[in-house]
Amino acid sequence: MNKTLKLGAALGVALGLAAVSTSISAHDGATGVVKERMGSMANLGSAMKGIKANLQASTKEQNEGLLLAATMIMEHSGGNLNKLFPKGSTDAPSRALPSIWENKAQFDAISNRLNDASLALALNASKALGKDASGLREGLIGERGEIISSLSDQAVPVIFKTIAGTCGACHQTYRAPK
Amino acid sequence: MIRLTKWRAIWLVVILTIVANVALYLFTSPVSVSRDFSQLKGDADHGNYLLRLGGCVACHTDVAKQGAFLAGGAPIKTPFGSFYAPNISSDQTHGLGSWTLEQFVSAMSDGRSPSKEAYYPVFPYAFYRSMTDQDLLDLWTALQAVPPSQEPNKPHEIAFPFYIRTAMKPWQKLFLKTEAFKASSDKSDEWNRGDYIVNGPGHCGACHTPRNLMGARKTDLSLSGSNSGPGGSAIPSITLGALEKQGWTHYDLIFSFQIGLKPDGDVMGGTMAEVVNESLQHLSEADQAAIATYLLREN
Repeated sequence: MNKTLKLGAALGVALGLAAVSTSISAHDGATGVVKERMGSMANLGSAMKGIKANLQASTKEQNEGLLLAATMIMEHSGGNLNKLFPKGSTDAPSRALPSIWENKAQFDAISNRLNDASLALALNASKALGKDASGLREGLIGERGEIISSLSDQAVPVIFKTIAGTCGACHQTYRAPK
Repeated sequence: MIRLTKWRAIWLVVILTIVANVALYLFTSPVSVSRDFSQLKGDADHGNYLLRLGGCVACHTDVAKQGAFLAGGAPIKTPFGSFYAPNISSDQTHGLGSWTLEQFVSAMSDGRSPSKEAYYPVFPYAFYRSMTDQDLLDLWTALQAVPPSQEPNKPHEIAFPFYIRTAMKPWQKLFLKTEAFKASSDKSDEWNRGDYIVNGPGHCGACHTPRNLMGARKTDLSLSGSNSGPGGSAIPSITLGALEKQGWTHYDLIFSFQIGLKPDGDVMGGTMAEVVNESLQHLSEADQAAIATYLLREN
């Protein structure tokens, strides 16, 4: 195993452990779909920490870390996240607000934007690593495709700000304060 | 029938005198901060920056409903009721268009409206009171250039007895103690700048400091968090001890001001997301660093 792979694997393990650790502490009493989506949120949080740790993106290892984190966000956003919010699933300890289902289309749109922004980050990191990104580019057509491609050309902190902006937009409107 | 004896009459006079003096004391306005604008010139660009730093945009613009800039904000829900930050655009009727500099300074510094009514403390004039003359003038200059909006002001939705505005005068007498900012000579410029922002225009303590039953801040518990933040939310402590316990670093704080990300990977929500979006992320890196330096007591 070469050095890059070792570092990438180590980061993956670290992210995974962080996710599990966060997940355990935050999931006291959660069951069913609430537990499942809180696990998703914990993974998203770990991925965000992963991006923050590699924000400089000046080394191959850092770009590997960004790609890994971006892939994790893609997996836990968009349609995969939206389906974890069936109507009325507000059982404790969920902090989901009923307003989600008053405007589910807008809620889903924010989650889809998160997916798009993380895809842009994955494209950025892939380009920096010289990796084939044809798989990521599948289906990138029309206005949405242009927006994602354009965002992927931005500096990593700009893309990260977009990602965090979608998280904040959702938390501000659809998550109850502690 | 009770007979008014000599001693009873003396006691009555004493009691009435005490009551009258207490009332006189409580209903006399607090001493104004001494200010002199005669040699100053307003800087609208810096004033626009202060509109962000002071949280004016966050409270006076209904961003969620895409309201006009500074034409009135979304309700601020408190234990006393819902308050609406008014239209502060340059409109002559609904905004500040007909105000004078003196009236603006009186509002910001003494919590008094042009009609001499005392403002509710949800308007953080107790913090703005410590602003420098130059900053107040710059802010005023910027506000005069804000496009007018004819959006009418919404009345506050507060229950008895809190809607009795007259009661705010004794409140001010009892609790409006802020003085003009004084830099600490044994601290760095960055630390002092952070102190000025946090305890002045940035008014962090408006939410992060607990309040007593009368809605006044418990200043001995400054920045130690509150269980009755806007909308009934719990506001975390941002004292040095609390920040250290949660592992916040200087970099983490600046990062959270810019992105809204906390050290645990969560992204801020609720009113703090609004503060990041409309205020903190617009600040210069130097000011963001100054706030972090002050909160972490790094000199």
